[in-house]
Amino acid sequence: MVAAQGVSTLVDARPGAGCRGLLAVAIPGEGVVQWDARALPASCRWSIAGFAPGSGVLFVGPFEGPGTPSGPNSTSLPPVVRVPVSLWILTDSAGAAEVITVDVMHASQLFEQNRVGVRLEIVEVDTVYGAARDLRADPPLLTDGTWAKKGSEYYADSTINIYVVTEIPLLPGAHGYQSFAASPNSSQPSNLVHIAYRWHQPSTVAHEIGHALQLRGDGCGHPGSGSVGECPCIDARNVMWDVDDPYGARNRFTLGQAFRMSLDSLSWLNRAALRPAAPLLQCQADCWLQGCRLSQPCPCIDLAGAEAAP
Amino acid sequence: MTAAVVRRRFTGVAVAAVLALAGCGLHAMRAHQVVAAWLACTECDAGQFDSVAALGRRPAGHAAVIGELRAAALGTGDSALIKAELSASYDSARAYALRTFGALPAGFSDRSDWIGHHLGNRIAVVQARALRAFASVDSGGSALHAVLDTLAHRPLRPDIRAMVDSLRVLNP
Repeated sequence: MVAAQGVSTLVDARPGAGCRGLLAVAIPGEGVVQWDARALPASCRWSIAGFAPGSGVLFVGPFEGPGTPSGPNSTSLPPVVRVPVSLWILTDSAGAAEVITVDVMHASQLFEQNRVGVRLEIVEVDTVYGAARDLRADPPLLTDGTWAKKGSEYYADSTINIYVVTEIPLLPGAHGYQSFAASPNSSQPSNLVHIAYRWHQPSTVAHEIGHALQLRGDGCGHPGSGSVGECPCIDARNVMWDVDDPYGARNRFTLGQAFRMSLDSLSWLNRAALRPAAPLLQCQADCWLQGCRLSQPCPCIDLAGAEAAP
Repeated sequence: MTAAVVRRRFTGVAVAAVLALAGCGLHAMRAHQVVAAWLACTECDAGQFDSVAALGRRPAGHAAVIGELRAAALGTGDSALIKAELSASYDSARAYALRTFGALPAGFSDRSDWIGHHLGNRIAVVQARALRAFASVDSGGSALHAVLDTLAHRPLRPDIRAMVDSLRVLNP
């Protein structure tokens, strides 16, 4: 049906589901996605999602019926989305800026290779030891971002702000934390990420930025934590898996996660208008794959077959 | 006592023994799960520590939890394997940065510094979390005392050394 490598055709044809369809397409390099939806059931309302390393995520539709648009079709993938990152070094540990710079490149590589359509670019590195003392003195502010926004000299509106602290006082031993925009109970992710320099792991930056891009909530933001709402579609190799295997297994995002990070209206990409002229979704419809009944369809969508790790 | 009664009693004892062994196995499995989840959680805000503490304070789970925590506190993992993984990650990130941006970003860490930092973190985070949980479920206990004694004679990262020293004061 689709002239591309690694195709997953997902059609929800359950009674009463209204027959929603999505052609999730992953192609090996930058280029053109081709599709032919004539094989879809006539009553389907369907869309196309295209993914490739080094490109942005394509989303077109929805279309009605198998012949709309008629016959085989094709379109180019959009360019990768460049996400500016500010590093605020609040720990006095020597070499922290250098280590985190590599971690950010590692994260960017994971996003690009897993077809998330995102490239992280460090635009600012600032060492602010004095502010670290303020942070330690007033740890509750760490969870809601108030501190960061109050001190505007340590906050950039248009970037993902990564605060590298020695430790997160409210979460002793935690590797990192992605703060919320308005309050700890807010469902909206913010552009504030904290990394505990004393404990963080190579994939911590990617994990926390994954939260900022709306991989959170209902358990699927933290599969593997043993909490209510486990996502059965994601395994220990996933960057968002809560348990960070000491031998470094976390290096995957599913296509569904890429879809959600790119298209969900609450993702930082869209809240910051980093994706120009792109349609937005709210990924709230029931997941309709393989018994996954979470209110997050996207994480469950993946390539149909096994695939080598990037 | 008839042979039938002896047989019944023997069967009863055997069934009880099997159930006890099965119970131990379940406790061991549960202890392994909750301790592993605590040792490697990312944000650790889903009650991972509380799960270890709760199981470790129950008589039925105490020994199994202590066993897991002792192994974690005293083990250093397979550092050769971890080093190899870190090495591959560094090389891959470096190659990606060069390919994507044409040059390494300013301040890109030296290979050995980055690997050394993350190797240290991988070992220290397990030690610190194991000791914190150990102190919670075996405060003043002989098992914790023995582990602290062993660690006191090992090379440790300064913050882990400080943690061991302060726990030794509390568990003389």
